Amino acid sequence: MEEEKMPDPSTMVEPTKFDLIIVGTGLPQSIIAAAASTVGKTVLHLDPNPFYGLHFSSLSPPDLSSFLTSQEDDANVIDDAISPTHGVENDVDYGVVSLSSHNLYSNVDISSHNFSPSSRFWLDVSGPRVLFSADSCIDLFLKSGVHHYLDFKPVDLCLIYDSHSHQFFTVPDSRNAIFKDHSLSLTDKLCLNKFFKLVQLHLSGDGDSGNVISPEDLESPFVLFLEKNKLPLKTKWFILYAIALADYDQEDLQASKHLLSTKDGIDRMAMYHSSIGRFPNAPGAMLYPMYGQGELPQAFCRRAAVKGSIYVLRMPVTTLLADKGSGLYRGVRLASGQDLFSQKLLIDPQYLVPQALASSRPDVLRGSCQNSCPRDMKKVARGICISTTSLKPDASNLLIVIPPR
Amino acid sequence: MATIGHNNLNAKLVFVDSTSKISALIAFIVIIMVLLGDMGAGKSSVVLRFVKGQFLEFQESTIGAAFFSQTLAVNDATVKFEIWDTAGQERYHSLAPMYYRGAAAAIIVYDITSTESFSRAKKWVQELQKQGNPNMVMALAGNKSDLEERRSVLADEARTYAEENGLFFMETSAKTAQNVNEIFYEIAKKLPRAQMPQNTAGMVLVNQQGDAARASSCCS
Repeated sequence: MEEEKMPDPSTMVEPTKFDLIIVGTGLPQSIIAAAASTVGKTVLHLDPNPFYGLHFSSLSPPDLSSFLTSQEDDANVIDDAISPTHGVENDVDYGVVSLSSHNLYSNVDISSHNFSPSSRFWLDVSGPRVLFSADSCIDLFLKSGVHHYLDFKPVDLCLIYDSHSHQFFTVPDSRNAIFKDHSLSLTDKLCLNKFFKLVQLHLSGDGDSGNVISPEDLESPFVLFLEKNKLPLKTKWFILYAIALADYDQEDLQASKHLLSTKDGIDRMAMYHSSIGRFPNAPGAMLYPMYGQGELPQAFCRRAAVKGSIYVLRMPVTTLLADKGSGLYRGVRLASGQDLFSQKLLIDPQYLVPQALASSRPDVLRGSCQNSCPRDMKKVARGICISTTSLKPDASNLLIVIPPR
Repeated sequence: MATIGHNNLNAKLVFVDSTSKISALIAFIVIIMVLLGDMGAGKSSVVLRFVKGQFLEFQESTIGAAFFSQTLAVNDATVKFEIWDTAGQERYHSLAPMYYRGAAAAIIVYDITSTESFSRAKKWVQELQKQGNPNMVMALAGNKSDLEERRSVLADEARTYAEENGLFFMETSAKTAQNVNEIFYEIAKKLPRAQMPQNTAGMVLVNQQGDAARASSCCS
């Protein structure tokens, strides 16, 4: 240990050897922390921030602004004091490799806001907004027991924006709702009903009725299949964007790699359908964690802590320690200067493991090796708008879908 | 019934007197309570004294239990406390806000022989005021009152601080049991009797197959 950097005694972590060290409390890392500690592994879970969840957290508006802007700068080297030479340096006992992170956010623009001081709310940084009641992650909450720590709210209503008429339409969530919907013509309703029957028949099929939808149709884009079934424009939209939750413009047939196949589209409709009424107190298909998505990693971390994981927030890892001879991973050096050791290391994808260590033994650091080459980076434009009142006065939780076109 | 995570208020017992008039309606309240404070201030000792009537001189740091529960009868209500354990997350000042967000009551514990634990207690009060439920009933407990000869936090100083911040204050000793039941009893009396408005209460997912069997032993 470096003599000149004696750690603050209050943040000396005890013990110093673990089965697994995890850096970052994002949702995937938190689930792994809970799983590993449940099977009896010793886990140390670290996060450089003063809050849980990393990119899966829910923050107050001022905290969100400062988090996004702090993450915005170019290749953020975590500890400037340590020279960011991307190679293995030799310490007294170990080869040390400094750990850096790459920025996930760019062009952050925060317009001036005027919140009343009484408003206490949190905004999700990223991560999924809503969860389908029948989703396998809900099964995981129930199986792992983290549902004891979580409060949910049902999504009361889903609205879809129609850019032609500049209006919001309610997404009907059942056949009954379709027939009550005054904005649909009778022909539309019949068409839609026929389509739902077809899908239901297909899904209930075991073997012999497997031909309800032909294999060619199942491989074709979902949008074409909807058109083939003569679904009216508006209906097509809400199936694509509000039920199947397609991310990309499905009507742009040129961008074929983003097109949802009929098979996937129908699976998503099935997910939507089986979500409705799964929980007696949630009438719709979707749930939302009451205090934001940030509760999810916290719940898994709490589970892990109950099973013995040690948690240290506000603790960046500056350096990875490697065995001098073999170059194998041995441990991490904390910002406090303390060295800690583990069999395995799991780090958030925002960190870059310098090639020197990663390539020395790719079998050891295979996961991290992928982190070091973020080649196929894509940018997603995101916006958060805060309205002073609910768009529908009678619904407190609603999902608004704005189709790409 | 698994009612974890709810601030439930159910009319449970209706007492019918000789003239068959309903003379009393006793409320049954289940609340989540949290204990906050420095490592070694005695959070677990206070809980164990209250829940089990025990005291261990060398209480180990707690691992393995999600919560304890204990029921108290006050004048007009039966209050079941579900006391959530910090599971060691406070050890490196890394307690998740979810731990206290749904709590209806909190005891902030410090050690009267440690001024540092008192400053930490004040930080917890700030944190709760910022992040916690605004209607939370908060108590400040100066624990280890049996160690009078080593006292370094004056009772008056703590009382003044508590009054200024809307907490009530007691000095406790988990070792001698002094004021331990009293502080929980005071909290039970101060809890709001009205049900939380519907829109502030969330739903807890119920595992239809699994929970029914586990409901009777809900510590996990």
